[in-house]
Amino acid sequence: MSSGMVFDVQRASLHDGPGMRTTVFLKGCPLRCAWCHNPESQRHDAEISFDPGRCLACGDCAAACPQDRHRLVDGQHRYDRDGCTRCGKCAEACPSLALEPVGRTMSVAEVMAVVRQDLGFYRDSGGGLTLSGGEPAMQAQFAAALLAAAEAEGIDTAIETSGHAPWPAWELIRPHCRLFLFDVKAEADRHRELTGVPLEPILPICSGCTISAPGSGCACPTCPAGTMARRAGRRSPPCAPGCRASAASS
Amino acid sequence: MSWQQVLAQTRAYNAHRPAGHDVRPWLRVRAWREAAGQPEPSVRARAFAAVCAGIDCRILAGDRLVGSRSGFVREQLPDGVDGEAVAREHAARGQRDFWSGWDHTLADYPRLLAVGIGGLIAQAEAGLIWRSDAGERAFLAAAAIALRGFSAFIRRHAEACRGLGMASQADDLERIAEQPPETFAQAAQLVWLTHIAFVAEGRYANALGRLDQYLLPFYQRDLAAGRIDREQALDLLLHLWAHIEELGEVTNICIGGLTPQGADATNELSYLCLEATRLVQSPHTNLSARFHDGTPAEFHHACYACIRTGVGFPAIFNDHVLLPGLAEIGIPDEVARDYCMVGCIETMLAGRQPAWSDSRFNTPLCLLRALRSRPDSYEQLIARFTGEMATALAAHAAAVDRHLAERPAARLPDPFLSALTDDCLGRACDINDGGARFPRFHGIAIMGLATVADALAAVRKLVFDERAVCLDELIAALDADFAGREDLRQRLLNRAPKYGNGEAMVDGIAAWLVATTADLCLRHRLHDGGRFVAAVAANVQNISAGREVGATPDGRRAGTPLSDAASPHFGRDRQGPTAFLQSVATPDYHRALTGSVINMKFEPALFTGEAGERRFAAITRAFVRLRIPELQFNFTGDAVLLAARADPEAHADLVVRVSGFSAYFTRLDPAVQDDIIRRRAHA
Repeated sequence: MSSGMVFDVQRASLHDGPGMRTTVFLKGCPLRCAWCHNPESQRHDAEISFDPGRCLACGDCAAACPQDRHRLVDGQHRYDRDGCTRCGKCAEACPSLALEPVGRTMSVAEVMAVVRQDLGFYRDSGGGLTLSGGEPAMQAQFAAALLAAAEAEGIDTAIETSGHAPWPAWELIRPHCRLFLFDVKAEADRHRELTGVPLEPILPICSGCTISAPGSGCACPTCPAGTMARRAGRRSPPCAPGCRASAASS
Repeated sequence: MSWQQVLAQTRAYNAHRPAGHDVRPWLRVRAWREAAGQPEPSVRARAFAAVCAGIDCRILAGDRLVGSRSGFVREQLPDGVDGEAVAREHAARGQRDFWSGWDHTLADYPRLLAVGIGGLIAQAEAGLIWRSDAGERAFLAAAAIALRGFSAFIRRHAEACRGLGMASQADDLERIAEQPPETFAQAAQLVWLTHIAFVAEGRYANALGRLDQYLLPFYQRDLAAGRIDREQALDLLLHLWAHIEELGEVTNICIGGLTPQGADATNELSYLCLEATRLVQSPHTNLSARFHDGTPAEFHHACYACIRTGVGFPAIFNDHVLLPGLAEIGIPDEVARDYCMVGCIETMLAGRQPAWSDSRFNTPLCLLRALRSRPDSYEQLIARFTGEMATALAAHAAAVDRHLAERPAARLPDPFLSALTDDCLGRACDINDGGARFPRFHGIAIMGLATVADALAAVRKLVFDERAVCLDELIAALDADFAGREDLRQRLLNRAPKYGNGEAMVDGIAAWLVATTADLCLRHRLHDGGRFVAAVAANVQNISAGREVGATPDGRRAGTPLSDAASPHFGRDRQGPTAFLQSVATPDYHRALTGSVINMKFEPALFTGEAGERRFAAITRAFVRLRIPELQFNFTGDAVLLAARADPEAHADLVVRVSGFSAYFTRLDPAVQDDIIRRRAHA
C-alpha cells in the first residue's frame, strides 16, 4: 500500500531507538490504555481537534464550514461534531490553530521525503527511521512499505509497538525491520483491564519477532532494567529470566 | 598557590572591589605635561610608559603568573591633585574609541615570542638609523619608548616577585623583560603581561588569539627537555584562566583549525585549553574552537565534554565557511588560515590588522519602509527593500567612515599596539596610518535575520500568493500594533512558514537576505582601505533594536525583541535540532566575513552518558558537513523552566525530558510542568 494515515512525523527523535531518528507515528490503535497520552491517535480516521484555549471566536471557521457545524453563539464558539465530515476546511481557515487536523493521508514517497532530510544525522549518530503510533501494525501494509523503502536506501529501521496485531501483519513487517521495540503495557493479569486487550496473544509475537532481530527487546512493567535501557536508546536485552510478563508466554 | 586559590581570591576581589581612584588618568596627564612640545607619538608613548611605571604591581604570593588590574586603583590620589581637573584634561586630549580602532585588539604574539621585546626595540632603532622622514622617525622613537616602558613594567614585576621570595619567577620575568622567552611559563607570562598592558591602556575585549598554536613550540621544547609535563602545563593554563576571570570581560582564545600550511592544527594544547575552560567555569574565557573536515573525532568529543558542563564554551566555527570568503577579498591562504576571533565572534587576522570595530544596522526598519510604499507584487517589495537597505547602508558606512576620518593617526597615534602589529615597525608607521599589513574590518551587525525572513515569508504567502490578507489591512494592523486584530496576528504567526523548521521557502528568503546584505556591505570601503563586512550577530542588541521597530508582519508586536543574531526567532523553531540545522545551513555566509551567531538551546539531560556524546557528535559533524558558520550551545536549567512557565510564547522551543518521552515544555499540561520543575529542583 503506497499511502496511509499518519498522525505525526517527528524529526530528531532521541528516545525511540538508537541515535537520532525520525519517528513516524501512524494513526489508529486497538488498545485503550487508561493512561494514553495521545488519545487523538487512537482512531484511524482523520479528525479535527479543537482547543478552546486558543480560540479567538473570530468566526472564520463558521464561514468556511460547508456543513454549518461551527457557530458563534453569544461570542462563544460551538463545534457540533455530529454531521461533521472532517473535511478540514475549518482548520485551514482557523488563524490561531485552535482547530487543527489530526492525521493526514501521506504516501510512502511523501514520508520518505521527510525521512531523507536527516540522512547525515542517521549516519553520524547511528539513527534511522522508527515507526510508532498509535499502533503501527494496524496499517501493516503501509508500515511494511515504509520500512522497505527506508531499508532500500540504507536507512536503519525500527518499530515501536504494543505487539497487538495478527501474525500476518508481522510477516509483512518482519523482513524489513531491524529492531523491534515492544512496549508491554501491563502484567498479564491486569493487561485487559488497563488496555482493553489481553496480553496472551502478544507474547508469542514478541518472542517471534525479537528472536530474529538482534538487539530487539521488550520493555515491560516488571523489567525496569530493560525499560531503562530501551528508553536510553540502547539495545535492550530480551526480558530477564523470571519476568512475569514473559513467564506467562512460556 | 593553587589555581583554585587564585580563582577564589580573584572572585572575592571582584565581588568586593575596593573603592578608590584610578591613578592612570593622572599618570598620563602628568606625562603629557612633561612631554609638552614633543611629537604626539612620543607624548602618547611617554604617557603609556608612565602608566607602566606608576601603577602598582599587585602579586599574590606564590601565584604562578603575575599581572593584575588591581594595581590601577589607589585609595587616594597624591596630595594636591585635583581629580576633576585631571579628568577634564584627560578627556580633552582625546583617545581612540571603538569605531576608530581602540578596543578589540589582538597583538602579533607569535612575533613577540620569537624576538622578544628587545628584538622589537632593536627593529625600531634600526629604522631610526637610516630613516630620515620626520614622521617615520617620530613613530619609531615613540614605539621604542613604549616598548622600553613595557620592559620596565616587567622588571618592576620581577622586583616585586623577588621581594616576595618568588626567585624563579623573578628570574623568568627578568629574562622576558628584554630577551625572547625560552620556556612555556615565560612565554605565557609575557603574553599575559602584554594583555595587562593593553588593559592598562584602557582597552576592552582584547583577544589572546591562537594560544594553542603560538605556545606549542615552547610546550614541546619544555617537554623534550623534561622541564614540564602535561599536568604542569595545564596548571599554568588554569592560572592564566583564573587571571582572565579577574578582568571580567570577553577574552577570546582560539583553538584548533588549520595551520597556515593547511594541515590540521589541533594539538595537545588545544585539549589543555578545553580542560582549563571546563575546570575553571569562568564566563570570561571566551573559548572559540575552529572545526574543519579533518578535525579529529577526539576534538569533537573534547569540545562536547566542555560544552555539556553548561559553561557555553567553546563556540564552534567552521573553517570551510570563512576561508573562501577571506580568499575572495584577497587575503592570502596562509594568512587567512591563521584567522581567529576577537571579542565574541569577530573575525581577526591576528596581529596583522588594526583593531576590530562594529555597529548595528536595524534591517527591519528598511523592510517596514518598503512595505509602506505599497508594492504591487512580492518582487517589487523585494526590490524596494533592497533599495532601502542599499541607501541606509551607504549612509551608515559613510557615518562610520566620517567618525574614523575625524580621528587621524597624527592626532591619536597608538605606539604600543603599533609596535606589536605586523608590520608597523618595518613600515615605520602607525597601525591606523597604514602600518598594519592588512586593512581593518568594520562589522555591520545585521539585526533580525529571522524576523525579516519570517515577515517576508508571511507577506509573500498571505498577501501576494494566497491573497488572504490585503496589504492595506496589514499595514493598518501593524500601525495599530494589532489592536483589535489578534486574528490577523495569529494568522501571520501560524499560517506562514517560519525560519528554523527546514522549510525551503522561508529558508531561501533568509539565504537571500544574508547574501544581499553581505554584498551590500562589501560594496563600501573605509577611506583607509578598510572593509565593511556583514556580521549576522547581535549580542543582545536585538532587544534594543527591537524597541525601535514597530509591529512586523511576522506577527511580532511593536517594541519587542527582534530575532537573536542568526538564530531562528525565539520559540518558532519547532521541528527539532535537525530541522534547525537544516535551516541555518541554508544561507551561504562566506561573504559575510564575520559569519554569524547561532544559538542552540538544549536541556542538559539530552546529552548525558555515551548516547549523549554520540548525539552531540552528530550535531558537530553535521555542523562541519553542512557548512554552518558558527554554533553555540545553551544548556538550560530550572531558571529557564520557570521563565518558560511565565512566558510560554518565547520558550516554545524548549525541549525537556518528561518521563519515558520528551516533549516541548510549554505544550505540557501545567501539572506536568509543575512536576518536572519540582523534580528538578530536588535534583
